[in-house]
Amino acid sequence: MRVYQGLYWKMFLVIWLVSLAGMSSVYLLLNSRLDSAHKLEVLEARAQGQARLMLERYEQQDPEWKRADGGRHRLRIWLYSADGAEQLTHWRRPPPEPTLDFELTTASGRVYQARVPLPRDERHAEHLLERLFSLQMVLILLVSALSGGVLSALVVRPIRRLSDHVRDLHEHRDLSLRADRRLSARRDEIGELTREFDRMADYVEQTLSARQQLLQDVSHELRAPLARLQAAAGLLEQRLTRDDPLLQRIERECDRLNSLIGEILAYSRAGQQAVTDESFTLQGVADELMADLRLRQPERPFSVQLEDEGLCYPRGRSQLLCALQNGIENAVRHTDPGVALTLSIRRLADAVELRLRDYGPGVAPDLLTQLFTPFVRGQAASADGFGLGMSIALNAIDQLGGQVDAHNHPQGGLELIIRLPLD
Amino acid sequence: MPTKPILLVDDDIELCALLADYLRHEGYAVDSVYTAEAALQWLEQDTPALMVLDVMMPGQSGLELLQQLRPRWQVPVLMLTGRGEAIDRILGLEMGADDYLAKPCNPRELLARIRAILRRSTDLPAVAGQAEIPADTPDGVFPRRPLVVSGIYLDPGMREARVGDQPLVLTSAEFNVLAYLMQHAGQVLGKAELTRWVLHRELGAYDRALDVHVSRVRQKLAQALGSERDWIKTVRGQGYQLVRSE
Repeated sequence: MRVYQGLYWKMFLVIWLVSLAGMSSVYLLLNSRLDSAHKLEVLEARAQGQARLMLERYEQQDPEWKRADGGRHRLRIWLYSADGAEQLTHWRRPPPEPTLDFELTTASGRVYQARVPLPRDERHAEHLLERLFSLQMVLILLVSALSGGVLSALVVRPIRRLSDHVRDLHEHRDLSLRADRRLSARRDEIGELTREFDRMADYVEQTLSARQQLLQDVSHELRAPLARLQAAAGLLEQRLTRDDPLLQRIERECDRLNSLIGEILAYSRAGQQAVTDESFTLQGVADELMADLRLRQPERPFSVQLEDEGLCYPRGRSQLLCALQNGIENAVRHTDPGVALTLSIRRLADAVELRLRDYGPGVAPDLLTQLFTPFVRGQAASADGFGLGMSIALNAIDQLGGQVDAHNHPQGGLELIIRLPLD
Repeated sequence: MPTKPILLVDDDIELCALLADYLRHEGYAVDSVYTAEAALQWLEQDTPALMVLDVMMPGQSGLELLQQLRPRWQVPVLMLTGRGEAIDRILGLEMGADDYLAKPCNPRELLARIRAILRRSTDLPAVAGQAEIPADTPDGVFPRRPLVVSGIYLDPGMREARVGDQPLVLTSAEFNVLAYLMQHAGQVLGKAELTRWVLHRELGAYDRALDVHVSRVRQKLAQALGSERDWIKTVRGQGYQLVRSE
């Protein structure tokens, strides 16, 4: 999302421009009204003064009475007798409309009429420009910007918080997270939205846990008949007392079923096992993995590179071990026993990075993206894999707040990268 | 053949019947009970040669029963745990079970474990001769005479161990761990070798039974000797070693 695409800036701009336009047009309108009223008053006062002066001189029979003082700023005044019949000033044309008309009574008690043309305001645009850059306009600009900013923030900030919350829900894969009380307790639309989100999270959480519970229950229920089946097969073997290939087949299928149930249980239970807050050395984990692998496949070369033998991680030993065991299991299933495995562990600035790599053929790119999806298996999968191991590993590392990534090493082979945060 | 029966404790009645059949065919006397409470009642009357205990039972679980069992009854216990329930296994071993087996299991495997436990708890010295002795450990014989190392006294014949006058209460697997470590005090013993001697079976992948037994012995020794010192050293990547006091 680019900056200008953000809701904040959109709202800010709209509110700002609208309030700016509204406030400034009101200001300009009012101002021009007030202005013309004021001018009229001034004009009237000036005209009265000048007319009075002229009439006084007229009555004194001053031949220059029309040139009463005032010089350049002299107004043109049409003076009439009281009944308006005789024009004293002898202008050839009547005054241009509109005019300001008033009556005057001189000191001698005679009454006259006067008419003054109202000046046309030719400097209107100039005035407008002047006003646009006045202090008032700057203030209006600021106030409208402020109100735009505050209003947008009022709307956008809770929405951001809500979206952060939803992202947390997704990224931490912790569906038990609920929105901040301050958000969900709001009585406006945002509060409503937050409550709806929470309800949706409730629903998803319930659905997922019901699915896990079902998976667990089904697996448990399958175990009992399987155990009886195995026992019965054992009895049959005792009675037949020979190595019947069909019996062997039954036993093999029982074992397969058994390990499938085991994996489903481990998968559905992943994330339920508590993370212990006990520091452990990564060397110890590597040793344990090495010992297990040696028992399973004595001929497989496995090497560990650890920069610092004393490197420790503060919690979740069983989760890390589980993830690595499943990673190794994956390599054991999909590569020949002679193919080497390496585990390199190093400390980054704020994390511990573990890279488990095999020197096999790697994984097809289209399968790589689904590596962590349950029940997705490679084409060359041997009969005893169910495609759950990597999902179990992912869940275990998730529980520690870490990340798992898989890619094909440029020099061949699959590489699994686990990053565990250090705080 | 032991005359005392094997006690099966499992809520699955049909499975009990099948397994009992299987074991009887191998010449063992078998009795079955279906709840933990019934097992305790049974124990009041008689002592079995071995108890096969299912962890997952309605009502009192196998682990709870195990807790009540020790230290009053020292009967060897083989635990049946669900697959993928590593925690149950470790807990069970820490509460004094001798070994575990993931259920559902092949009855042949069950039989092998039962035999291993019965051999080491009933007829120990003779078994030591039968078990495979690694060629590179000429001293790899199970002790017959009493041993004294670092203030610990152990009598294989009487199956008792003590520190000073204070008796050490050990399960049979723990006893075997200590006896074998004492016999070879100062030497580093591999996990595979120890498993063979202590549990009478081969070490498997993801198998933590031996480690739990060793850590239990370590705890009990530390308590009895009252010192911070670690008497059983873990040698990285190799195994365990009992340290001799100077």
